Amino acid sequence: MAVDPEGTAWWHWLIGALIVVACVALTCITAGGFGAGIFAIGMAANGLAFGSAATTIFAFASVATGCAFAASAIVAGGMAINTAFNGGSFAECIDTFMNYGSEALGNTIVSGIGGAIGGTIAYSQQIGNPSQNGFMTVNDRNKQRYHFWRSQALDPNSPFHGNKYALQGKSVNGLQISHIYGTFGNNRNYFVLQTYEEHKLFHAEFGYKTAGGPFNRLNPNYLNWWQFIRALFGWQ
Amino acid sequence: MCFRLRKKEEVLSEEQKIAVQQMADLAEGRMSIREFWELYQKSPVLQDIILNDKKLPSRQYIVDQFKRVDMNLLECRVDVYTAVENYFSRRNIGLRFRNEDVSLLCKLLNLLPSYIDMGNGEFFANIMAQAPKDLKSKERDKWFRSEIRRLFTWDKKKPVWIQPPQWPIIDGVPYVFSHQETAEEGYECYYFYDPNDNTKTVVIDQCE
Repeated sequence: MAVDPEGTAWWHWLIGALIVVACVALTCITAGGFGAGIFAIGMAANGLAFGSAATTIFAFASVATGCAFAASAIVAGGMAINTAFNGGSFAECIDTFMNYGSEALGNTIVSGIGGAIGGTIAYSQQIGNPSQNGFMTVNDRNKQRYHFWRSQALDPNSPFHGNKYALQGKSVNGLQISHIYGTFGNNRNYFVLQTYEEHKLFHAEFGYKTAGGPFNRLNPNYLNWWQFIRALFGWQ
Repeated sequence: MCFRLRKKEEVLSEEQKIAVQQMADLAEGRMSIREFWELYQKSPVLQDIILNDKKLPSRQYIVDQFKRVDMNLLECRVDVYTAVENYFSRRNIGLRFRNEDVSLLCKLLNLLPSYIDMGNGEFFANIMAQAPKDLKSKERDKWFRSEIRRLFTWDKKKPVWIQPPQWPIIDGVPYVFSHQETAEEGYECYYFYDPNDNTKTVVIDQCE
């Protein structure tokens, strides 16, 4: 028979539900309205960042806590049904359900932390600051340039193989690394090489800022892991 | 010097063997890059070996590179050497690769601070050539660094480049860096001026 020795298990469910509601409320507050907040949560459910860093983080946390809380309820419900099938009374079924509250609360908190981390990463990679540094800092760019050219110099199948500039991690013939997609589908690891003039022309056509303007366009090469996982379960 | 090409299909004619020997002479420092380039321009066999090498990852790249070769530029001389060096390294032929121009370029690349671009290397090679002859290697490096600090100056802060550096050197004079700012549209502007007559120039860096 399921026992709730302290008789407070239902508090766990209540706290879990409050966490979910708090995440949703904070998303709406930081997004500037209910509609914008719900839209941000919808975007987060699709693995996409929207709005400010705080909005993205709370939206991802809302999705994660909501899913974890709902999944915990389904599991607890299953356990209650199992109790009923084994001849348990209605009160015992409720006790079984309620006793799963501590696990549900734990799941909700851990998922919320995971969701917040995911939101931070999503914001950093997809939006970043709409400033001159874009979604990468100068240091990030220098590192990326260094590693790219070094790898080219060491790759026997690269036309830059053995190039002395590339071996030092420096650009060859003034070629520039150009990240050619903007927000929503941005991926810092997706770039092409352009000459200075090509790069200039590109921005003249598509604009500059990552978080707005015509540079905002989907990257067909961006692998959205969340969508990939959903597709595995047949949810497109 | 003797060497063998390991692949059976690469059986060389006598003319080709002579050409490959010339390439090995360049690779091991018995021939200068300028001497080799003169031979290369006269020898269709050498041209064929280098430009039509079946192991080239990209033939067009090297064809374009060789069209642009100017033996007065350090970068171009090293490009020619690298093409020859790669011919042997792609075949795992162990030679004692050495060349003065390559050593100089690598040294300059190491010595230059990250906010200055090497360009074709000639400007910096000329500075290095002006170093007092009696200096030892480390002292010469130190002298070169101090010369770079003297020549490349800024008003308040050195430039923080988003893309590879493009410090303007006009008529052999490195401009002085004034300041940088982000334009409303999002690109970065770097302002320089001529230390002699105050002529201004702006370098624009694209961001993403």
